[in-house]
Amino acid sequence: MAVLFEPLRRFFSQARLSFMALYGWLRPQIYILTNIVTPVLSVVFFATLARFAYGIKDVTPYVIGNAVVLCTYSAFFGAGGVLRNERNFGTLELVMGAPYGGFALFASRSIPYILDALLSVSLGLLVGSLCFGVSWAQVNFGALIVALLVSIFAAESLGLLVSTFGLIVQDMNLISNTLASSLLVFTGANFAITLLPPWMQKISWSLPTTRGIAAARLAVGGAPWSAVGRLLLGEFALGWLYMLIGYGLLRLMQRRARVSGTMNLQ
Amino acid sequence: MKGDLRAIVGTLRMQMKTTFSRATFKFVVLVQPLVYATISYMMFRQSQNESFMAYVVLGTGLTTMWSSIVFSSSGDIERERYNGTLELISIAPVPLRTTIYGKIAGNTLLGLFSMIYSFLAVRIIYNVPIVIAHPLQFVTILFLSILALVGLGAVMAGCFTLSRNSRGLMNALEYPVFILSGVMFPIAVLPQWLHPVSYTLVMTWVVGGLRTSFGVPALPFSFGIIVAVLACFIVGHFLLANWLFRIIERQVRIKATLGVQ
Repeated sequence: MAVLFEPLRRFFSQARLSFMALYGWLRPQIYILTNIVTPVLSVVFFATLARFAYGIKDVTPYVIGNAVVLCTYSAFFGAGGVLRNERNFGTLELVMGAPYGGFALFASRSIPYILDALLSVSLGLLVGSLCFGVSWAQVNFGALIVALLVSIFAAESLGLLVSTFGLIVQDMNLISNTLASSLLVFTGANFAITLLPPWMQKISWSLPTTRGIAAARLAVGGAPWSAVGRLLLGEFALGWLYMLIGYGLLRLMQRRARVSGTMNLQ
Repeated sequence: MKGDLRAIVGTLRMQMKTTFSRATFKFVVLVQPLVYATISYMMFRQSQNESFMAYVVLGTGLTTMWSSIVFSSSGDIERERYNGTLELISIAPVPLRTTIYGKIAGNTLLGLFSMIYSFLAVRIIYNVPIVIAHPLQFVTILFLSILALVGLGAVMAGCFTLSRNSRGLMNALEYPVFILSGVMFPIAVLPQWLHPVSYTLVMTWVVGGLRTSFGVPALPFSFGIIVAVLACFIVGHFLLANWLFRIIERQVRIKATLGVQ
């Protein structure tokens, strides 16, 4: 039994230790300002903008859209920065060369970011609801929770994929920031995807949270499982696809970084 | 005086070169305007709001300018501390405040460039006409805004020199200011009890003044009052910044923690 549980124990202990070390280093007030205050206020900002621009009172779809898209911050700046952090601390070579190194280790480190994303999204929904009077009278809670979880999973998978670029790209900030803010445009959080040109709509449907936002909006409106099932399955499958591509890319870039000797170069 | 001016110009040039080589700044200047322009254009395009151009153009430009000034003013101090050079620039023959003013002037020029880039992006990509109804008012407010924001940048740099929480603070200074100062919507859409808070922010008056010059009055005050309030902010910011720099120079010697991470 111990043989079976040992890898799992290491997986979760690695997740806990890395997250605690990161925020122990950064201090709790930084965590609160960066991961709670800023994301929650972004929901308030875009929902207020929607109320003014569209001239409507009920901004429920925009509160939900912007709250769900919050999980991408954690994905790109948390999970997406795992390899970059190791490089900055000068430990990337050690970690990559360790017997338990590689994709499993980085996947384990993304676990706390999933919980972190869940917290941001929940707070975004809560504060948005309180500020803009979102009605929960008809909500299909089960479908909403599943929509949030699969959206977070898909976003974290893309975050892990992005993280692999940390092996060959010196500065990841431009990539992470661009991707995170692009999702505000492409996922339909603030305006209907159909307003985008057809080629951009294709990008929208290949990104995480597009289906998640649509499913969450339907769930809050009281839609049954049959109406959201397809969207949820699509989001889940997209998450696995990104995960697999991330795994393949990590192997490829690991080899490339070893050959070119640039693994720990700042 | 001549030496100080030379130091400011030298720092300004150096600042612009190093800042533009950073990925985060490239994002703020080149990518963020396109994102905000796209979102606001798509949203306002659906509305019946006839003055949407003033919100899309100014909103995009001002959010970019604010981000570039805030991120640079706070990030520069943190970078100097991280690189171990904050102590060195604080004991250099050129006073610390002169070096910081040079850096902020460089950031503000880049911020201005990002604002022009935003205007052009909105104009070229979305074919939104840029009509400045009162050009003289626009130039006046822009000039006063730059001075007020340089002063504010100096106050922030002073605070961030004393505090070690600049990264968290600079991230948390975007959306509250965007909301309270009404960069993308009039503050009238905010709850009444928030209006007094909005009026304490320089950005509210910058936005209000510029929007008025576009022919879309945003504040219940005349242009003259907006100019007078901005002038008060300029004087207040520079006095506060000088006071902070005096404290910094004394605290640095007493505590000796300037370079502590």
